[in-house]
Amino acid sequence: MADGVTRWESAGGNNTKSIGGNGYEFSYTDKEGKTQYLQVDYGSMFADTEKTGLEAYIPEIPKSNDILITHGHMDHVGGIAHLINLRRGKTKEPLTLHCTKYSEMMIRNNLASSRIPVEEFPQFHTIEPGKPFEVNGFKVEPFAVSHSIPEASGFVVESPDGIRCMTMGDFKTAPVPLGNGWDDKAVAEIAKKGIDFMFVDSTSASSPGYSKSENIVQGGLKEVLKQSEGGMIVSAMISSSAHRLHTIATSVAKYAKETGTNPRTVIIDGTALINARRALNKCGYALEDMVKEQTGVDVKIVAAGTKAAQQVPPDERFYVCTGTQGEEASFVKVAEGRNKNISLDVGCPVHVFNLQSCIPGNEEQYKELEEKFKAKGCTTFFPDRYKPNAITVHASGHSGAGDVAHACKIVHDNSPRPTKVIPIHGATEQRNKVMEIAHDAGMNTFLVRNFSSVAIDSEGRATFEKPAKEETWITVTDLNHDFRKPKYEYARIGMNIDERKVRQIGPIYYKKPPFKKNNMLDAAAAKKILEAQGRV
Amino acid sequence: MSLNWSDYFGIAEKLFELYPDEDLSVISYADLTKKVSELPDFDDKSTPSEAVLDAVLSCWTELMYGPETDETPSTQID
Ligand SMILES: [Zn+2]
Repeated sequence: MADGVTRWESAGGNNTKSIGGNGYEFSYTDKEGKTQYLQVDYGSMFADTEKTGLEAYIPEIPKSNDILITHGHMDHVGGIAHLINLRRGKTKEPLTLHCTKYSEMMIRNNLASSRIPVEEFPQFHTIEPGKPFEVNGFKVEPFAVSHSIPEASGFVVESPDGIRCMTMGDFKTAPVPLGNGWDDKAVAEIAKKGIDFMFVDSTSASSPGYSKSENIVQGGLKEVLKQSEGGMIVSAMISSSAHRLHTIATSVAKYAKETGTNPRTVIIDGTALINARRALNKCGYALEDMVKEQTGVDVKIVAAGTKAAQQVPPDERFYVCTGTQGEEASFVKVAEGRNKNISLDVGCPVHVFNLQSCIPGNEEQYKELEEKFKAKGCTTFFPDRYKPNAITVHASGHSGAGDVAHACKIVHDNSPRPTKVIPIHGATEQRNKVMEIAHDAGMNTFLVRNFSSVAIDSEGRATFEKPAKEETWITVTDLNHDFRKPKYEYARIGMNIDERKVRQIGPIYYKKPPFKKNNMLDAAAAKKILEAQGRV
Repeated sequence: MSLNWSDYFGIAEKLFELYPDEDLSVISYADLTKKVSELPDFDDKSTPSEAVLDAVLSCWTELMYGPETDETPSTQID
């Protein structure tokens, strides 16, 4: 043993009320006092731009030039574009992201939409479950977890002292259709090498039982198809959670086979869905081929607005849109008659299905969205978050209490060392639930608040440091309010943990990216773009 | 003003004007590279990286379908 100190700090994500902004920092200080850092995730926290004028909050700038990425959801990677801005001219060290290919694609889409110069894109090290690597003195062992987005990972991070910490990212244990998912055996094998600390996703820990498998949605979607015979289907899903696209195409194929009817064509609309489909292709998930192999049925998936989409008879269309919550995206544009790709006036009944229930806080907007479709004469199905629904059109990507207990048991049964559990993500109530579950499994548990840390000596003994009273966040503002040429401004704020009172600390100046003259469009060209997108 | 690969947004704008109904969910790199090299004001003989090609496609998609609000609240909970 090297007799140093291993530390883990919640740099964001263990918030009391708000959500996202996930970031965790491992460090190791040797006996000479030299410290090495390793960051896990660097996400953005939703800021409700209309109310705050802010684009997002992001955690403090990581000390490490290497970031382990658990998955490609923006609450885990949405800060990276801003990190590149904030690092510009301040360091010559390259930024390296250790992630799966699908996560890389999600990140690269975000960098392009933030207009980061390609020359400044980070280096990507493609990771694979079960293939360990070393970085900054830490041994890192990635393992696959199931989540709503493909190719999600957990990591075991081993410090030079041999202290082994398992961080789960967002996870559930049910199988997923695309790529690797949770594997009891793989997790048990990793645990056999010893786990000192386990950091567990608590987001849905208050939900009883296991989180459902994506497969269960197939039954619900077949019901959607049955109810929509002779009409056009318009639906919406969370675009980055791309397993659902596979589920939709498979359900279309199976329904056609079972009923002896023509399979509908799946028509996707909205920037994030088109990007997700391209990312799937690039990562080897050729959905049409996969569905054909699994069902023997040819299902076409095409982009809305293309000739191929227009040629499909309306009663054979299954539109899938972005924007389940009524936020500015494809779905609300359809409801308001400003989506140039999808018209509701097609000469046959139109059946609207939201494949996502209402996120708390969006109640008004969600209801309004449904009303807008009803006012246009559509039948609607918008599932209720809290009551049983007639059809199941969604499976969560987060672990329920059963999954948490399952994961804890595997690690507890297999680790030759006592494993302590620290809940991450979610609000305090959910983190307390994880503690209860882990305690029942016979494990010691600790609650570590945001911006607090735990120090672990070479014998695995833990002490808690930095009981933070204030969180520090970086605010992101877009001064231009023009997606074609964003002009970001950053500032540091302090947020009192208990009262959520905000204290301005000061602006953060950064070197702007090189100016591209071609980016400036004349007024006529800009108007054309806005018209095409249904924004005027 | 000539265009080169580093101006991926400028390239996307031109492509959007010329090919307004392209299926961007399945377009190949070869097809994209050919379309860019045929742009009247494109003047760059270098071989583009996949990163720059993907950046062009991301921006072209954004121009075609519009910018979207962050879906983080949904992904965080569901
Ligand atoms: Zn997630």
